[in-house]
Amino acid sequence: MVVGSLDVETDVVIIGSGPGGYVAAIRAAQLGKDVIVVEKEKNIGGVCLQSGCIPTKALITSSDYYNTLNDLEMMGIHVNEYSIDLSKMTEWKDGIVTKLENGISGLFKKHGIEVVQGVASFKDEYTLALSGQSDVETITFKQAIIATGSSPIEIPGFEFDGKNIISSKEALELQEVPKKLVIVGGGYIGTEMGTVYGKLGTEVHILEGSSHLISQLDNEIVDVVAKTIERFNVTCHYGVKATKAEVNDGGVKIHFSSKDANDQTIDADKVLVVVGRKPNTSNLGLEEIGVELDEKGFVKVDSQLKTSQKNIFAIGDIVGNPMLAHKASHEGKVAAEVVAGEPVGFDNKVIPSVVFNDPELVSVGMSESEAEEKGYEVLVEKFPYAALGRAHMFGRTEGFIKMVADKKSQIILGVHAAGPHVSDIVAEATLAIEMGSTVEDVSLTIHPHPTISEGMSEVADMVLNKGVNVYQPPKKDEE
Amino acid sequence: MVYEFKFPDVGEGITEGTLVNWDISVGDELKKDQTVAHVETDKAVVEIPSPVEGKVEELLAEKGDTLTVGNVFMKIATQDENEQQSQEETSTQEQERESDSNYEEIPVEPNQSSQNNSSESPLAMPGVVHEAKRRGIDLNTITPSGNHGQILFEDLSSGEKKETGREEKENTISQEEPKEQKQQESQSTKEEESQDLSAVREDIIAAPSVKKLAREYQLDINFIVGTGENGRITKEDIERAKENRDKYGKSSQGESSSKQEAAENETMESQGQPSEASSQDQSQDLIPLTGIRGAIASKMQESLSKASQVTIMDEVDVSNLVDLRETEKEKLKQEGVRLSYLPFIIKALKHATKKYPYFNGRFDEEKNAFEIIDKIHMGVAVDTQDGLKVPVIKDSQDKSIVELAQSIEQLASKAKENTLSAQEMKGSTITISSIGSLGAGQGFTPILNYPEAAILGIGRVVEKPVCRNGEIVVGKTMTLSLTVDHRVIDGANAARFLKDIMELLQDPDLLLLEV
Repeated sequence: MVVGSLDVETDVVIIGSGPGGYVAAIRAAQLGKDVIVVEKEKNIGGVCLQSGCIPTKALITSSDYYNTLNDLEMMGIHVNEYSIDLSKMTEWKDGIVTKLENGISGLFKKHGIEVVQGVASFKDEYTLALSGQSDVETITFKQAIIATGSSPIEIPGFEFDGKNIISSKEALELQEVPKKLVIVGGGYIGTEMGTVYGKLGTEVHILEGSSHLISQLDNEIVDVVAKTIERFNVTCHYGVKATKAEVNDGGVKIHFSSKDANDQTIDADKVLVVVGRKPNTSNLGLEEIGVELDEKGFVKVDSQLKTSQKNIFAIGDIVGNPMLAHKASHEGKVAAEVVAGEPVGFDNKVIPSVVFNDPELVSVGMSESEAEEKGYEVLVEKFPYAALGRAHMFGRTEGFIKMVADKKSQIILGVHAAGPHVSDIVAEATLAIEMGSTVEDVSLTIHPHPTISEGMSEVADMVLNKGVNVYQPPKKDEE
Repeated sequence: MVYEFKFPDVGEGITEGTLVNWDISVGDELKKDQTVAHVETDKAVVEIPSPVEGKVEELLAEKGDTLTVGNVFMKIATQDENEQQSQEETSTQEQERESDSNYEEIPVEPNQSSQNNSSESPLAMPGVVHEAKRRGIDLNTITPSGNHGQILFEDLSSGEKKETGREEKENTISQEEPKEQKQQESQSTKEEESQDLSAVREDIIAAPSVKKLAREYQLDINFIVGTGENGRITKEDIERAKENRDKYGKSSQGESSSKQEAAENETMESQGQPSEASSQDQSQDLIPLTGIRGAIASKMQESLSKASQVTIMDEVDVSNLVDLRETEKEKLKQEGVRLSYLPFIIKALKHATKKYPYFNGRFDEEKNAFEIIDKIHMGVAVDTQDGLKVPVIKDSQDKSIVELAQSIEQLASKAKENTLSAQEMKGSTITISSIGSLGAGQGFTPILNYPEAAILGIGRVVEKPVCRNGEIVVGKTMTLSLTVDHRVIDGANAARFLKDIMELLQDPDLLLLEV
């Protein structure tokens, strides 16, 4: 393969260099394939690295440190003077992104993976046409992996202008802390960004259409955040519909309606619209080459991530929910291995999710109601954070770890939790479910003290009705 | 290193066998799983595969010798032991490293020497260790059957009741379904291509590494019976299913090209229960429910599981119809059209459905309602070499006897030549199944062509004594078998409907008058 010529040839072309695409590229190269990655942006890494997981969590961490300074007094630490320099914070965050991006570039180089910048569309099932900066006009490939990700959904009345009406991408690039910010959509991005700016001193209003924040998660864990989020200058308006935004001199006027009142308004510096994401599957020429999409625009794939065109694969956000980086990466590995002829498939039982609110929320497997709908008779217990020694050291004890298990087999079906640093337990919970472990397996595994992970064995003990650090009245009706 | 190959347990409680012939000789290079000998047991002649790769060093038995399970009967020079092990292990090393952390080591007695090799702690999930303690079982005495020598729940019970344990195991084997062969796909593409299997069902309990192994062997894990607690599928279960597949399922598709052979086997198989047959008798071949056979199987199963079917049968004197057909047949012959009874019966159905429209249509599951359709798209069951097919005569209500005869002939020959389009087999609203020309069978119980609500079965026309005006005469009769979906149509209405059809067939002039 010679880059610089107009037409290049390769074994595998990967469209998109996000957490799905770059992982697939490395794995395919490891398995001896000649790989080209096509990226439409100047920088590799996709939304996850450039304007998603990494930068948001960086800001969440820094805003959290800032906010925690208030609490240090109780530990005997006097902090006299502190202030925020948002442009420096942004610089620090961008530095992290650059370091990680260089990491991927370095790995690509070592694996001989070529990156071509350009916007790709299929000419036929073995040729990709490119438009953009690069000299390369077409790429002829044997197999392709499409990993084009997703984009923010725009709603009528709130057309993004990048200044006052912004998406999650611009929300990470603000040069100063806004005085007042309205967020349309109380999902995980909305609540995460709301908490960040709330902690930095912004007056935040979240407009949520349903009666709950983050509606895809277990309501009970979300309720923990719904309470704490108010502490960080965030006001949530439920059951409201944002109708339009008017940009004016001072900022933006947001109109919304609710059951009680039709036209209400809030004035704010900016409005952030985060109502969901849509798969980037248009303009690729997919249908013309026989790659079928479903009615929502997701690419239809089998359990090996093969599309209806058998040399073309699709991974990540474009093949369906949940749109999570770790799902995309795993799919990327599977697709790359299948491309190389390995007999593998996406056989996972569960995909964990973590929301970096304050406190954190985690969820893996079935909720109580899902399990019941599927016909399980369930055992459910909650272990409160207040009974966990480690939680007290963070100065925060709100939250709990909830375990859902099948009564008959005692197999763990789901774990849902809210609490500071609760993301520490989710990998264990996922492994337990993936292995088909029983409650007893977790209960009888020694968990190190004092850590948040102890909560897992504690809640397992409770399911077995032998909780130690929580009083459980003896059960009389034991068979 | 020299591998001493002991005559293996070939299953089914067999302890010895007679050597029929060696398939290899001293000095031959052996591949793993290559057949080394044919051995006759009480039940059959079995092929003995080599468990290792190497060079045949010595054969310790001759033709006709009795081989006893567990006795060395040949020696194979293999590669260096470490080399071989490392080869086998590299592929699983990574998973091993990961999964090892999930096992709990049982502490050995403190005074037991750690230099003693046998004192290595057995591997088992904490739940298993606990259960063993509860039952008072010493894990060191258990033979593990799990991944990497892990002790499973089932092993505990085998420790308790060694006698019955074996039987249980065999029963589970018989339930495993042999799957399609690897050979096929390797031919299909020149590039190495990995085949997809169906997605893993949510209720399957198996470690990720076990699921991966199933894919490696091209086994659909959804069909494997787990022997672990709660039906957990272990690495052993996958290995056993593969062995079973390799032993019994070899020629399932690729090699048996003769359809007649397949048909013969079908009869054989259908006499006994296939699942038993494959474990206790040496099965000659398998009829995989794939392709047309698979389509028929799932349609039939769907029909019987969804509709409440009831069949009503009666005999009708069709002497007049037989005469009418004879005369018409001659006329049409000159035009090159072959006339069967079907066009007349279709006409009769058309008249009857005019009166009872709810016999014609399709069941809509989403609405939980039967949708009456005002056009008659007549499904006609056709027997072909590949199996039953049901082409559809669209808009039968507008067609004359001749046109119907022409349509039937066209569709039937297309069905037999396998050139029917998908369109020509879709959208029927009511179906006829005729076994009349096959020489046997009068009344039978047709299965609905779901989601339709009625199917009419046509039996053979036979000469029979019939009563006319108080006298017994020789008449020609036909048995009609009408199956309806009792959810939609009650028995009384089925009887009324059938009565109308019978009257029309008895007096076919009525049919022609209304044409």
